[in-house]
This record gives sequence, C-alpha cells and structure tokens, in this order.
Amino acid sequence: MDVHEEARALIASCLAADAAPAERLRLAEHLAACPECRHEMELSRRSVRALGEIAFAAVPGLDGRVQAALARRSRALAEQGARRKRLLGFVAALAMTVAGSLAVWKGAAGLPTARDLAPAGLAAIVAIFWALPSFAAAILLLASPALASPSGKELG
Amino acid sequence: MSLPLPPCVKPAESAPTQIARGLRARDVALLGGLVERYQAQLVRYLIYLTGRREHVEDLVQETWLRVLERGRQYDGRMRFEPWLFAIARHLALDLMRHRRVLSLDGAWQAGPAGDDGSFPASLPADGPSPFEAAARSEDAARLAASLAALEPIYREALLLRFQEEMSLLEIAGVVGAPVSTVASRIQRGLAALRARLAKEEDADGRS
Repeated sequence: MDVHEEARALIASCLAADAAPAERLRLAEHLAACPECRHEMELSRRSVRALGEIAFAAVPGLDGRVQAALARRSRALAEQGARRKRLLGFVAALAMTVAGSLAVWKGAAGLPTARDLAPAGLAAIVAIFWALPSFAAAILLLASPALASPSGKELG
Repeated sequence: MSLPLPPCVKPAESAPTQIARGLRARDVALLGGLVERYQAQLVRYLIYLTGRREHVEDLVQETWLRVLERGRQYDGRMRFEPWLFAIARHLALDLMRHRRVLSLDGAWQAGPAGDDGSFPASLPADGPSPFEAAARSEDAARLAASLAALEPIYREALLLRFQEEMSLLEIAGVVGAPVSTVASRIQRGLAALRARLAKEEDADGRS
C-alpha cells in the first residue's frame, strides 16, 4: 500500500473516529504536503455532510397505525397470558384437591367412627364433604376478577 | 469528597434501564413514546437497508410488534437503538431473501439469516430510488444515485456511523460482524461516495 492509499484509508478511519492519535498525526502530516489527498479529504467530508442532507418524508399516519397495532397485540398477549394462568391454576387446583382428599381419606379411615363404614361409603363421604367443596372453592377463587382479568397497561 | 446518599434517595435510573423495565412490563404507553421518538430513524434505516420505500411500513410495524413481544430480552445494558435496529435488520433480511427467492422463482439460494454477514442486494427497482426524492442539497442529489447503487451493507454502515452516530462496536452488534469488518465497510462506502463526487466535479469542470 503506497502512502496515498494509506492516507485514503486513514481518512475514512479519522472521519469514523476510529483512528488512533498516532494515525491522525500521520494523516495530518501527509495532508499538509499532499494536495491530492487533501482534496480526497474534502470530498469525504462533503460526502458525510451530504448524507445528512438526505431527509425522507414521514409516512403519513404510520405512528397511529403502529400504536393501534401495538394496543391490539398487547391485549391479545394479555388475554393469552391470563388464559395460560387460568389453565395452570385449574391444573394446580385439581392436583391439590386430589392430594388433599387422599390425605383426608387416609386420616378419616383411622378414626374410630369410620371403622364401621364400608370403604366406598367413606370415599363417598370424603368426596361429598371434602373433595367437591375444596375443588369448587379453588375454581371460584380462580374465577375471581383479581385472577381472571388480564394484567398490563393499555394504550389510551 | 462525595457524601453518601440518604437511604430514601435512589440514584437516577438511566434511560436504557427505564426502557428495559417498561418493556419487561409490556408497558404500551412507554412503547408509544418509543415509537414517536425512534420512528423516523427506523424508517430511514429500513430505506437504507432495502433501498426501497414500498415495504418499509410493514417492516416498521412488524419491528415494533417484535419489540413488544420480545421486550424482555432487552436488558438495558446497551443503548436501545442498536437493539431496535438489530430487530429491524433481521426482519428486513428475511423479507429481502424471501422476495428474492420469489422473484427468481427459487433459483436464488439463501443461507440462514445473518450467519455469514452476507446481505442480499437491494430489492429490484420498480421506480425512482427513494434517495433521489429525499435529497435536500446539490451534493446530496449527486450522491443519491450512487447511494441507490451501493450495496446495502455499505449504505447501512455509513448511515449507522455518520447519521445515527453509533460506535463501531454498536454497529458490529447490529450487523453481527466484527468491528474490523464494519470499519472496512465504512471505508469502502465512503470511497464509493467520494468517487461519485469527484466524477461529478470532473464532469462539471469539462462542461
């Protein structure tokens, strides 16, 4: 690479603020002695300036359309999140009801008053007085507005 | 000597941190503010990338929807613009490759997006270049044709460095290429514009 080629490479580096101080100094020394490369430097500066003089007209109404699309997608995402939360809550309620009912059934089977009952009778009592109410309570809790409403702020 | 802050005073949150927190919460009011603030820059970047105006509106809209959906990935450790532009670039790259595949009836072979730093040429022209219509000075008008003919990766590097004033490291993050490659693209892009101006000067001198 001859000195002029190197200077032209350095011109771009200097304008892009990518040149080391020593390189800047070397370029300045070369430009002081070389009118051709000085002209190249001037053309480069004009090119960079001209880039700033290309100004695109705004797309009419684009901001409004984008914001409306964002609001729609945000609502959809919030509803999707709430549905997922409800589904998870339902599965958790079901699992806890089954586990709780099994524990109550085992506990009740050991009680003296339950010894005279047939296993099916005890199971029916646990189902009616424990499993169904606890499951219903869990479902009601899940359906409460605090859990059912999608979270997230909406655009005005 | 600096005095310690009382426990009730929190240090001011930086703008990227505030944006990251808002995006994590999917705060669409914050997103609305970002749209107003960055829309013009985003439009310009996408025109520089694709070389056309036709698809810009769709790309802009899709970019902001991605920001909403994937906002949790922005951690606020870098400025917001490079992250935003990286999303826009990815979408533009997909579109350009897709359009090219369609227009060439499948003959054009595309690799995975951005894996090798390659970028398709501008979309086929079906009208005047957007750069000509946007030129606001004599030099800008002279460069418009050259810009339209320049490969998108060079246009992009010039725009990000000289208009968006991103550091080379930030540009490298946007384009997924090493800093040395970015510097080389700026150098080559600038050389092409400079050559155009010199040619125009010579033509003016002869006439």
